[in-house]
Amino acid sequence: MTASASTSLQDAYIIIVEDDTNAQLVALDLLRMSGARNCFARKSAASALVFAQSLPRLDLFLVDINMPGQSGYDMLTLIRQNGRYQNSKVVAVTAATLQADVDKARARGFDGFISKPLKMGEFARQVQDILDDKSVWDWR
Amino acid sequence: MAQPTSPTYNDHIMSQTYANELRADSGAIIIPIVTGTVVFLSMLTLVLVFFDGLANMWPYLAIAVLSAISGRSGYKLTRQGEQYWGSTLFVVGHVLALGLLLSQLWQPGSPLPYLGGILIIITSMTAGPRTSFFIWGLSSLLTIVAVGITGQLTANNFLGLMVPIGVNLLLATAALLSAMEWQTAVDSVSLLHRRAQQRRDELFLIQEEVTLANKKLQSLNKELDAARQAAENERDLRTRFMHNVSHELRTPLNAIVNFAHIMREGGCGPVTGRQHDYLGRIESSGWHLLGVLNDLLDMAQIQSGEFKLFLEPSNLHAICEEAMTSLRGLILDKEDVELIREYPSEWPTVYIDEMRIKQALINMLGNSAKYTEVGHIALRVRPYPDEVEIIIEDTGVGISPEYHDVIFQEFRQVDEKAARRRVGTGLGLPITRHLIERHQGHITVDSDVGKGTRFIICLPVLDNGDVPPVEETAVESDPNSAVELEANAANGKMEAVMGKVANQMSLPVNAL
Repeated sequence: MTASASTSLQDAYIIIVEDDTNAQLVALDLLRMSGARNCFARKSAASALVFAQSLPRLDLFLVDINMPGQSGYDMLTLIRQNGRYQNSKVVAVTAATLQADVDKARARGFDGFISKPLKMGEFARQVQDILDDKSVWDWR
Repeated sequence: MAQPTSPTYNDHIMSQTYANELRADSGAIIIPIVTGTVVFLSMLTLVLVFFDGLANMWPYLAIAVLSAISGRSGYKLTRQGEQYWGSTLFVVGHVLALGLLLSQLWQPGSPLPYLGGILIIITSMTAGPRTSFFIWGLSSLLTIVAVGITGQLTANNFLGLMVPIGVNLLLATAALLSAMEWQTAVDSVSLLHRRAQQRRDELFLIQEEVTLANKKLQSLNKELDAARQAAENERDLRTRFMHNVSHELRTPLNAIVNFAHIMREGGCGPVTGRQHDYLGRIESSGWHLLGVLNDLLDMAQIQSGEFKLFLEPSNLHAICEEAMTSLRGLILDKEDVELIREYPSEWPTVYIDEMRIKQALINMLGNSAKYTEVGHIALRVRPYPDEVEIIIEDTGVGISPEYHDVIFQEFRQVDEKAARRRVGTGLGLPITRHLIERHQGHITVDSDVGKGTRFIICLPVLDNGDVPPVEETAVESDPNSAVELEANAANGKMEAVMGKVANQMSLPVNAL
């Protein structure tokens, strides 16, 4: 497991956990258009975690908060419990952008917060910032 | 509540009671002692007379019997509550006994008539001073009669008797005078006593009123608690509703703006120039919709008091640059508008919520972009020792001074025609003002129609070691604290009342 601090967007292994197909497609396309080669999307926390086992490493989880079944918070807990992902970043990507949602995400220990709609110009840069260990709290 | 009064019927009754009790006590002590002494002495005399040869024994026997009977009956009556008649009977009996004694033993110059003085004093103490004059009269009469019985009532001797009779009269008068003095003292003491009781009654009444008021306050507090709970529930519902609205609008907006963007950027194959243009319009319309949604959510949060800031030492330079970048996107189609930046050589450290200050600057610059067709839009930053001034200046339509206050109020747009021509919620300036004021700063406007507009934002500057001047939590009105304040005020009033009453009585409140 290599440290992800200096991983570039191109080389980073990124998984998008998102139940909404539109949102999945948007995030995937935006990342791929910005040069990301190893990004994937899954519809639930469980399938994302199973799929992540097959990847050589995982640098970034982009996790939706409101998902049927296991929520983004449940997923964060599962990731943090797994030693394999101790250097992985976990970022909340959500349309729930009220102050309370941001506060909660901070308190629970997410590495960042990106609000929907994704801002195409900024999204790739935000992801790169997180990979570079900078914090991103964008809730507008 | 009865008023404190001068001595009244009640006071009189009360002092009478005191006097009667005191007389009864005196009688109960004096009567047995005097009776015992008289009986003992007359028995002793009897014994001596017996050894002298039994002559003239009966007067001494009569004295002993009179003393014993009047003493015993008097004492009994006194104990039964009839101390006036008891002591009168006792004294009259002894006056008769004295008369008997005088009739046996009187000689010119004898001190025996002075014994009447003792009886007069006893009368004054046990039956009242006025009765002692009657006893004086009776004893004087009997003395003269007794002297007559001895056969020595000459003019000389009669005059000699006037000395003890006069002395006895003086004694009766002195007793009356001292009794009157004593009565006055008793009266004033009983008046004081009554007043103290009245004050105590008043105090009890006030205490009851205080208790009642406290109960009312408690029930009021309960009602307020319920009202607050209801308000909180309503606020929770509203917050959840806002949350849902935001989520449900953002999810499709995410798809609309980003699919349009992806297509426009050729993510799904080549697009024609016109398609490119229209996709851009879809995108920017989507972003505009998001701006409106954000403004509405911000205003709702500001109004419900749930608006929070996250303050941190920040780089104002980067924030200004980001705002200018976003402005550039807004004036792409305005070739006649020049952008001017006037930045300081050294940037001060500001303790701000970066997102919110950036939002405020974008709001202001967006406004300028909206209303400026020709000329320039300038962002000037001027640091001073205690504050930093951020000036947003444009050469746009300007604002008439009469509207300078109105523009910072919610849901207003100055130019109705312009408002119809240019879409917007009218929330930008009110939100900006709130954001700036929550940072302990202020915003002012300098503008007139046709002369452009200058908005001046002042933010406080902090040394690194400074404590942040604003709290990071939402400013919420706490209904509880208001109630507590009221309750304290009410208690204060009650304490003041109690203190006042206590002062009137010259007693500490807690002594009661």
